[in-house]
Amino acid sequence: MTVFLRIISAEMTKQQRQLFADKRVFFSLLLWPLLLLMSSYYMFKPFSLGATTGTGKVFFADQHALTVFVLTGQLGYTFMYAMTESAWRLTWERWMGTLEAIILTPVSRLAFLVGESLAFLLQGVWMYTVMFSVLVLFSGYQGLETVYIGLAGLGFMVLASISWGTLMNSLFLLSRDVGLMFQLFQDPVNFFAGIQVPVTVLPLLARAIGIAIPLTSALQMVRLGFVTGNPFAATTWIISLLLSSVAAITVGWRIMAWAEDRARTDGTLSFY
Amino acid sequence: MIEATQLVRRFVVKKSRQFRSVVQEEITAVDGVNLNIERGEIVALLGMNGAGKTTTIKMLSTLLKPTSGTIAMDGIDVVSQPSLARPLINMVAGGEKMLYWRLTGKENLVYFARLYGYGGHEAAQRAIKLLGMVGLSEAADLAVERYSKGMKQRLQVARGLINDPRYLFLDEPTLGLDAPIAREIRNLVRELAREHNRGILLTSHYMAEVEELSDRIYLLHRGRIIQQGKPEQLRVLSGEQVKYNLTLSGVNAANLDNCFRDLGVNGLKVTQAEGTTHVEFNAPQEFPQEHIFRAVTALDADIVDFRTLEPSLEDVVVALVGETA
Amino acid sequence: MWSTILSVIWQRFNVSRRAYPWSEIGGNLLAAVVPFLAGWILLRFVFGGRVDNSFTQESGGTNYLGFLAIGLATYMNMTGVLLAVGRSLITEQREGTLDALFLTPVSRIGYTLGYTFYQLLLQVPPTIALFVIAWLSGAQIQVLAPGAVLVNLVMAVIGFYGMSLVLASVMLAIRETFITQNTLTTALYVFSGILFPVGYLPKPLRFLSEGLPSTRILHLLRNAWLYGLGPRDLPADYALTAMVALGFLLLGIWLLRHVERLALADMTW
Repeated sequence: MTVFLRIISAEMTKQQRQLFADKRVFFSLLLWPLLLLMSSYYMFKPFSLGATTGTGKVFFADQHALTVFVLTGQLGYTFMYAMTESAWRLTWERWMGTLEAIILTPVSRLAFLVGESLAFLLQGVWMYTVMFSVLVLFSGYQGLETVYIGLAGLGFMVLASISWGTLMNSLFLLSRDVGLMFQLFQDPVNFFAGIQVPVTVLPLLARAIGIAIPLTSALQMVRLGFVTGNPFAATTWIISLLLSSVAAITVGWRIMAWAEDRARTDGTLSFY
Repeated sequence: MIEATQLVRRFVVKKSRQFRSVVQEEITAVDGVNLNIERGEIVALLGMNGAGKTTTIKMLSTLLKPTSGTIAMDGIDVVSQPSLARPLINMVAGGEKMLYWRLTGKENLVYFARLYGYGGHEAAQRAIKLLGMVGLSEAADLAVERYSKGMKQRLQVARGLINDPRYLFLDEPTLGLDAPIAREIRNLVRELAREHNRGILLTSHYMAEVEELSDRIYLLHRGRIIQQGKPEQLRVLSGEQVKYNLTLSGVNAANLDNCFRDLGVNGLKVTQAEGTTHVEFNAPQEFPQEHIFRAVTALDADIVDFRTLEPSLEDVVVALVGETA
Repeated sequence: MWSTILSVIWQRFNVSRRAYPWSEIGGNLLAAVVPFLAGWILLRFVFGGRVDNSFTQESGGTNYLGFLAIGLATYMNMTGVLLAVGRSLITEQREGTLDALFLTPVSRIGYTLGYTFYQLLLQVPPTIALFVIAWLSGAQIQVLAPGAVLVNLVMAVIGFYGMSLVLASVMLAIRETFITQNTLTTALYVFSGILFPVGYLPKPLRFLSEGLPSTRILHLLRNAWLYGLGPRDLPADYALTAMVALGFLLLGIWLLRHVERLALADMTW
């Protein structure tokens, strides 16, 4: 445990200095989600609220419901993007030669993957706190209950993100074509996770893909929490969050071992 | 001890034809290399560019898997259990990679120390000590992107020592460095082997450096070890000759010629100037020098100056590689 | 200059072919198709196939899917050019070859145009694919005024190229890509009216939006493509758009020269 925490601490320090030391980056981290929020919100403007059909209509009944839907989707997107970004940054290490230096050490690969994700996530903790606070305030503060829903939601998101980040980090190490990997795990995953379109509206196959992504279940639980007041209402989402998270971490860990072995066999640890 | 047996490493490379198919070709970078490194000794791996030196070092340092062959390190099978070997080794490569440019020198070392399992305080202590050892104490809090090439290389050496490795692989450690800094690094390498009992494998293009530091040399050519031994042994094996340069007085030039030819020397050149006679010739490494003194005594001459020029390691390597080619 | 352009196109083609075979085509296509499908699902399965009156007012019609397809195709091409040209110089700087490049007499315009034309060529297959998907989804995408569309495409190349030169200069000057890539491309997504008419934006932001070549070009492109309105119908709009596009081009060229002088003077680079 101590070693694990040391690795997380080491990764956080490294990332903070290497990636985030520039104040302009922090400014961007504030501005960029606002822009995304605007994009998500105005995307629904061409349509008439209330004139909705199908299983997703609870989210588009009125302006308030839409705003909660958009805000939670934005939150989900931000967490998701952070993890894809963290994985993308990892590939820079291959270009810089530091990946070789890391592989040379005896550091636990699982600890390294989880540490990378968590460290990246923690860099934006202030942003997530602000977003959750806005959500809690907007949805109508009803005492501590709303705060508990917010905290529970944050917990679901963090769990989903770490597990997804572990998988992303390992997948990005596999391929040199990180541009495609980035695109593959950006918009399509956002689509299947129900960021902009409720997952319950998607065709069956798309829904099945969505449930394999930890964020989908976490997002659904957060949305249900803020719309209905009870994030634990549907046990199916809790189970799918836990199962998909465990699966993502396990698969990510095994892929890292395989990717490292393949890189050692092909001699591609330092190519880019 | 590190013992590598019949190491082979093959690569598949793709050669493109314009708009047409890509052809795959298998190249053998390392072809049956056997070598060993004891603790406390400095072993050099020499060879021309593309001989397989870096590939060999990467296999030994677990970054590359051999196609076949074994590597044993103090009882550990490095090929099948690289994770057990990693705490015991480290590698320093020439160039500017393997460092985080936006971190300071100290932050780089602390980060890697933590990856090796050192706690926060201990990691910081080690970083400070190593920065002092490589002469970077004053630049400890400067971002690496502001370091000169020599400073980055010294930081690389510090990073290579962060885990106090038993075995250290140095791939061109003084490449492109100024003479004083290169000398400092050589002194450090010598100290690590002699005083701290580290086993060191060194590759370098600077023959003088190899000659100065190494206890044994492996000469690699096209992926194979073509010669090995101590530097003086390689000289003998190369067949390169020693150059002799004598300045004599009170000697008859006509007698000189016959006298030295009888000794079996080659390329005899005799010139006379201002009352002295200069004699130049080449002779094998094992040529007994007392023959020269006997010959001079027999001529009733005086030796004004006596110089020898041993074949350089560069001459030796070129001769040995040339023979093999 | 033409030899530089062709050399850069050839070099980019070979790098992509060998190292990044699918990302440049596949990645951009995904970035456009996924939002289109999201819009299509919302229209068909959530909002009963109908748009609000406000959309009809702001966009000039009810062709939501056509509006979306053209917006996303434009975004795909625009960001392709912006990011390729924008990153070209900072990539050279990070790889240590910027000094070598600046020391040569190679035409900077030719070099950056090479990246531009390469990107535009690269975007042809995914653009076609997007429109095929849109057509299969039931979008009305017949081109009603081909001549006007062509004029808009020329203005788009000039405008996007100018924007990319400005971006390249900024990236090189501040030595940062993270901010510019993420924030800028998202800002363009919002303010250029890719997914929705810019009329929905609050008034102060609409002013910002109208100052971008991308917003004006997209607006005119949609009018020409979907509703057959050309320069004769909207002469003032066309004139102003051409001026904005040229303005960005001149600004980009000036900035690039200025930043190059700074780059050569700064020894730490």
